[in-house]
Amino acid sequence: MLAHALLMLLGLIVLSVPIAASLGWLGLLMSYFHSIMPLHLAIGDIAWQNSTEFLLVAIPMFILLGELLLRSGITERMYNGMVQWLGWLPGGLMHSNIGACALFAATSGSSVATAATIGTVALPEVEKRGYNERLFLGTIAAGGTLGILIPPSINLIIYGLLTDTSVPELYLAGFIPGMVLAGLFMLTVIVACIYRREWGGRANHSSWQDKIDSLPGLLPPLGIFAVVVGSIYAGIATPTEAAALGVIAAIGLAAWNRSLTIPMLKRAIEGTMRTTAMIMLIILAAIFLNFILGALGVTQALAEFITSLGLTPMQTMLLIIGFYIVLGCFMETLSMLLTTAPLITPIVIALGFDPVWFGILLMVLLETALITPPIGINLYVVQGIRKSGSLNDIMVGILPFVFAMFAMIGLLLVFPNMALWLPNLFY
Amino acid sequence: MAFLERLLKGIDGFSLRLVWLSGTLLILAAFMVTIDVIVRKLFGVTMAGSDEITGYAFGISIMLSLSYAIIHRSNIRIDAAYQHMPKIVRAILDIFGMILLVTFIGFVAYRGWFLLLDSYEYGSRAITPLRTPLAIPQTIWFFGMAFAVFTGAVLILIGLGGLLKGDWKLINERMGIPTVDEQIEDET
Repeated sequence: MLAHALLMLLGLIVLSVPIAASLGWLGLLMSYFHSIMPLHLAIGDIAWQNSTEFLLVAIPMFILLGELLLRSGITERMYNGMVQWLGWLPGGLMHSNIGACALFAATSGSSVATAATIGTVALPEVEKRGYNERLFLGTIAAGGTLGILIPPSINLIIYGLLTDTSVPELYLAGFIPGMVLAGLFMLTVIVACIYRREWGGRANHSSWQDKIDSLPGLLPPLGIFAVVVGSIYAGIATPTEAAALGVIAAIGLAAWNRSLTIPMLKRAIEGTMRTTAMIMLIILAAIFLNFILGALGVTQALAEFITSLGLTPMQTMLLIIGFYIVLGCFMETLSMLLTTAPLITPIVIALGFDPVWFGILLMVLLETALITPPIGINLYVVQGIRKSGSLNDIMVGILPFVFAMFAMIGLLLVFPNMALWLPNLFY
Repeated sequence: MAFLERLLKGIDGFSLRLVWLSGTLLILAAFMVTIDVIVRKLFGVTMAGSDEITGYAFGISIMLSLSYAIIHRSNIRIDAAYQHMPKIVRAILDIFGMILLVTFIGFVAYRGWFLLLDSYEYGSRAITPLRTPLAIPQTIWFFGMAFAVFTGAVLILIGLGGLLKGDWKLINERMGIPTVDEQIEDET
């Protein structure tokens, strides 16, 4: 039955059937072939219950928040601010790329939007300041992935919903690893630029006056981040409420900047609703599929199969990590999260691992998937903004950052407390 | 064909208005939740039901936006094999994917219809302080799905027409996987 399900899913995906339809139809077919009960009839209730679920409202809110910031011109000023503060390091603007990506990621949901926005602002600087183009492109593609890990991440909400894990705890857990990973990226750039001085281009030396003058560009996104994450950590708001606070703050900020216009709002809404409708349809289909697979006992069968292999917990974990890295080369991240998390997480918990910790590990694995060829959307996004040159440049430039991610995975395995320390402090 | 294209234009315009409506609902919900949080923090009073109403606004906005998402090719598809296929195979895969998508949404809508009928017949109310008559939000919710199915059906007809004429370009423009350039154009 397990093999049957996998084969059908693989078939649908290879035929490039939309993911939502693939998951939904797989659920319907599994119910039709393997169940004597009319399980599929539950889909009406499942769709209604989950499409009105308050926790999931955080998803459109965070997407809207990102759209509002994007369209009110805050991002460009933020990048310029980052240049003033981080440009002196060996590797200059490449650190600004990572820093700006991390900060923008912390307020927006889409890694495509992050990489595209920062990329558009940053790319003209490559020639102006004589950077090594490949490494420079790598920083943008890699930096753009940080949004999955740094709260408020939409993927963490989805993981929390699918595995019944507390989202505020996940948000606390993602904070330190997110900072460490951004740090590892910057360390990668520094090491590369010390090894080959000419890669680093001309650094940007700025006075303290410049740094202070750039603050108005940096403070708004930081402020919104503080409102959203602060209100969750302080226990004032649930993740969804915090997202709503963030949206209102972003609207206020746009009004303050005089960029709040009806056309701007319309475009932000169009982008938000299109993404939301698409993501939610996939989520509803995935929840339906998980319901069917759970009722049929497929989830259990998989867990029993893994146990029967007789591996130690750590060996099993390494196997799972390997599985995700390979899968990540071919699958898009959201679909990967939705199809695998409900199946794999119970196994991981049964082995004695912490679901919060695994959630964070999984996010790093998903980030890796965003930049591993052949299907790493961020590679194509960066190539898309660049318009010329070969995709190969980006694939070479991204390699050191893939290794930084592997290092991050290793760190999480050896020091689980990197993720668990903060949540344990609060809960 | 010309009739179908005109119809699609009309659907596109209408779906855009539904999207604006959906977004406005969500922004209003955001205001309501924000006031709720502030009032709760400052005065220790909770407005009953702001989360419930927000939930309905969310469910309605998802379904009302589905049609727009379909027309604008926002559905995630894996193109690992697709991109190596000749144009005619791609066109067939495009139509096949659209048929599976529309039939799946159609099935959800069909079961949603029974849910709505039950709510209507028994006058079901939410088990919350608001005791919302569920038939009201469910009607709009169902309409969104039905309209998405209609949209998809028109697209499938256009696709089949394109297949007969060998117009691969048309099929690609209407329901193919967008290129990265198109995706960036859409997302920024």
